[in-house]
Amino acid sequence: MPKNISIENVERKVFVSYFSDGMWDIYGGLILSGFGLSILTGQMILLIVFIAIAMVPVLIRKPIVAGRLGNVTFSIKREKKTMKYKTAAWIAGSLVLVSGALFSALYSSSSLPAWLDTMFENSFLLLIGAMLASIACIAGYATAVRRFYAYAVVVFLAFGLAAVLRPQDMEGIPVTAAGGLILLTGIVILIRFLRNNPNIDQGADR
Amino acid sequence: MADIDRLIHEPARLEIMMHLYVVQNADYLFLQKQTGLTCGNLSSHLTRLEEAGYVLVIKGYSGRKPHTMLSLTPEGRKAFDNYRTRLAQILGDLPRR
Repeated sequence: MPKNISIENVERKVFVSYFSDGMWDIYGGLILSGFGLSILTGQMILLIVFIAIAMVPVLIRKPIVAGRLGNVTFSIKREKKTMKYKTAAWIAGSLVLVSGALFSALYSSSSLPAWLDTMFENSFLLLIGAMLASIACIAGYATAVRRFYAYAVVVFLAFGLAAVLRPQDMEGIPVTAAGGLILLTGIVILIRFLRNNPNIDQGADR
Repeated sequence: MADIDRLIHEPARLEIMMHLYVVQNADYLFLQKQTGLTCGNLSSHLTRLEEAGYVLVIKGYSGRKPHTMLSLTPEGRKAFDNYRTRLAQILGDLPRR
């Protein structure tokens, strides 16, 4: 019987409902699209522009969600757990940036031995894909939102395909497509969220 | 069955107690969204829980709009724990057919 009154399920349902707005999907999709487009065009400024645009949903998320779902402070245990995973995701994200910068610096210096140069060229995209996929997995585990695991698969496959298409200089296409897919999913989820949760006037408070 | 807390046992109040049990605090809108109760219904159940000392209601303002924060009191948390234990005992003791 105690399983019927499952407190864990209630807690999980409440927590997951706070990620049903699609804003994080839009954020991730925009950054990935920017990354893909910058590879495709060779214009790194595009990535910076897309990162700047991606900050918009993050900044407007809280008032939009709180205005529709209300405010809540989760349990201390949940807050600690979330903080732990946020830290892990930030570390993984920083690793992607640092390894990307390191690779660019090493690659452009042309001072690498030939074998290391080839190894970098062949495995760099896979490495970045694996790191980004691990961030999506951490997000999925931390938030219990299962679609983040699907994103991890999509991202890894996109970077795998990018590694294959690299000799043809088309590695940006699968990355941009993956970003576009995640972005589109986020937009659909956001529209559904806004439609299902109209902004209730707080003046109707008891 | 006689010693079961009937104040918590009512389905709508049980839902309210469950949702407040899993968080530190929440506002009125959150509880309304999660429980699916109407404004009047939620208010009347909250009043009963507040009167019993199970729920702490803090009324304030968010900007110029009224904003109500809700949380379980230590007594409310204890009462809910007791309710879960007692209900599990009662139903666990039933013979299976």
